[in-house]
Amino acid sequence: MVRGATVDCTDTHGRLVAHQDGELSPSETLQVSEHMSGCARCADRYERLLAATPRPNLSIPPAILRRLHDRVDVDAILAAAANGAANRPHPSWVARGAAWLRRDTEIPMAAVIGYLLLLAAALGWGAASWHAPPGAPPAETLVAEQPSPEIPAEQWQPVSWQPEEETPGMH
Amino acid sequence: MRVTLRLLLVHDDGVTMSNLRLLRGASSTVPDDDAIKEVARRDHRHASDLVVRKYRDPLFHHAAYILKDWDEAIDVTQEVFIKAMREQRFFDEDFKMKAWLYRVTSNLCFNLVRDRRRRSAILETIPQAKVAEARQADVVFHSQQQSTILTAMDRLTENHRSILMLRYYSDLSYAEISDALDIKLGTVMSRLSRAKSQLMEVLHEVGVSVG
Repeated sequence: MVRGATVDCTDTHGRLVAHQDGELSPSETLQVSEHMSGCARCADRYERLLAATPRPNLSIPPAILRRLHDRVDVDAILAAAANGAANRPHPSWVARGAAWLRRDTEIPMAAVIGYLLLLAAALGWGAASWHAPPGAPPAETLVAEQPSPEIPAEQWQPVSWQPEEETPGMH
Repeated sequence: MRVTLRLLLVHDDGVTMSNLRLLRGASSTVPDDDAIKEVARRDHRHASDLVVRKYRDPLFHHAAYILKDWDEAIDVTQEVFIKAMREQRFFDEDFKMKAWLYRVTSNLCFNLVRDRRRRSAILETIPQAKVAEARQADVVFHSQQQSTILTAMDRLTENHRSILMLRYYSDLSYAEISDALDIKLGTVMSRLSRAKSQLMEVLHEVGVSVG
């Protein structure tokens, strides 16, 4: 390695394949080419990646192609599509859910961690903010206000009970 | 009857022109997707015919690479077009039909591959079923290196295999792959880079000289 070995090698490695595929911008292509001209390690990796490139050279026998063209015909397809559309049952929610679970997706780890952090924060906030409504008596008062088994129910009055003041003109 | 071809090497340069190149040549006479959408406004059947003629062989090719089985690849190709004709938005102006077709083909193929694995895992537990022959790689290749690469790709993850096949066997651009797999352009670049690095490592493990 001669030039920009520490930083540029990392950058270059990620762009070697795109360089081979002609998918880099002209300036990026130049950067990668210039780096490789001075970096034997990256140049070697470039060659090895190039040698591992899959090339399309599958031979399909003519008989197979004929069968394909016979089977995959527009009239047959339109007929099957129309027939199927008429008879196709609407998928149930269970089937849709199962299909969703079976799908092959990549969930970024950052998204999972973010979701878990949000969930934990929401639960923590919920626990911290839970309290009796403002103005309500404390819990012990509520207990004290329950009728005691020793006091006959007809003699029991809540501690907070105050007799209403008589308002003139009420009688 | 299922046609089973073993992995062969063909050294005759007279037949080394890839089918894909032939297909690309054939496709050049077919209108592009936007023109087909225009046709669909006047004549739905004609537009459907153009779509089938344009994409039938390339999609079959793509399916054959994944499935390594001609008959299954034909079935999948047929199913993809039936699904396409049932898709209400298929000829809509902003519908990316090429990406959609390749996405559906890939999904159907990988579903079949997964089913095959499940079936073979069950069969292995049944002693009398062991006599059943495993499916052969039904492909004919022109070079040892390329047949080894295809075999090595079976050891990659499904995501890596899928993206490599879309790029190198079906010749989709990064933008088209981005649409087909519904991932960002930057993800296409990084995933392809990782996939190819992984492929290189697998080839190294099996003792194939790559450079």
